[in-house]
Amino acid sequence: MTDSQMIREIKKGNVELFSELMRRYQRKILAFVYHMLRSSHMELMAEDLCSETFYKAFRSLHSFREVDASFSTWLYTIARNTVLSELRKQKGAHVPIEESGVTPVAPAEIAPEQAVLRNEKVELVREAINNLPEKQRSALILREYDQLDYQEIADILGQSVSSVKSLLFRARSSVKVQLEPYFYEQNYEQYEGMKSR
Amino acid sequence: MTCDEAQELFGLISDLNENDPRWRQLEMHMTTCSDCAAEFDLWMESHSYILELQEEASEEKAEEINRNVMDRIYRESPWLIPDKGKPFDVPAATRKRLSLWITGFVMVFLCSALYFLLMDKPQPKETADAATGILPTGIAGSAELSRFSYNIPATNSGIIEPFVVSMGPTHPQYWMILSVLGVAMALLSLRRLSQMRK
Repeated sequence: MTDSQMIREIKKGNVELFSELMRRYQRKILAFVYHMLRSSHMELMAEDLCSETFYKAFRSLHSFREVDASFSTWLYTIARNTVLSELRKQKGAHVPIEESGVTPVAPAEIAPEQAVLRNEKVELVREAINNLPEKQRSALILREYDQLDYQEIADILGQSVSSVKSLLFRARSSVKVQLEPYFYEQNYEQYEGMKSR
Repeated sequence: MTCDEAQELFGLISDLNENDPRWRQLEMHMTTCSDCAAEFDLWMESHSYILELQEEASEEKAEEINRNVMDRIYRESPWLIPDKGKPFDVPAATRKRLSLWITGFVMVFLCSALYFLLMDKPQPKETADAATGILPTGIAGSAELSRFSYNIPATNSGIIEPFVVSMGPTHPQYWMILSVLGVAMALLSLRRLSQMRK
């Protein structure tokens, strides 16, 4: 059964099918919400906001029109708006990483000094993504972690495809610039050689 | 490909298809330009760092969210609970008995209606003569007076019989009304039972 058929049935009153429909997207949406929140150290809220996203989707299902967007794009849009709304509410109430309960943990087989380096790297990338403007951050997450194509990202962000390309370019460029000092520390000689050229 | 073109491509290179001709052009360019090759390495390393943060949502967590959402929907809109999960469900045996009851009454209704329409034709009533209520005047001493008599029709005797609804088991209307009442009672009972806690 396709998404459209399921939605038609749900609108007719077969509410149980919404559970099946959710099952198709719940992992993707949870991952997206998690990635959106992680840069602000608010991962613990991912499940609540994911639930809120699906509940809002159910309540607004009557207003969903397939001609405007696919169901997945519509869900991502609701998820993004839900996360942004929560982030606005929490703005200023910064949760330190130690209290978020999701301190980056290196795999057990990595030596302690390597684990420290890895955690440092993870935190650096997280910070670099967090420093991006919201649209660049959303575009980057949707492309890199959710593997959506340009058109889908454009629909979710309400932008044109060329704007999405531009957002992605600037986001990646910005992350690279912020990570450069770290690369410099890691490969001092190589970096110096490149700079001198 | 020029260095500027290569720089413009670096930010989107990870989105390109492996068979995209621009990959080949970039590779060709980087064999001749070490600066772009080094820059490309930085872009790719940065990209790999970003990808390292990718997380997969666990199936258990996702299922838990699914359950929470469905529970919330049913909690806030109990009328959406599907029949099989209704806490106030009518037992199947009772439903079956009531269905039989309704079917029986409907059959009685149909039979009595058929009997009423086909068999129980009303007998033509005697038409009462038109009576004006004006009586002919008798003249005292007249020869005709001895033969004069008033012929008052029975229907117009002025005595009104009390209204009696003659209804007995032999009348199909009686059975029709009874069966409609029976169906209504059965439906009401079903409704009441479905609203009652088990």
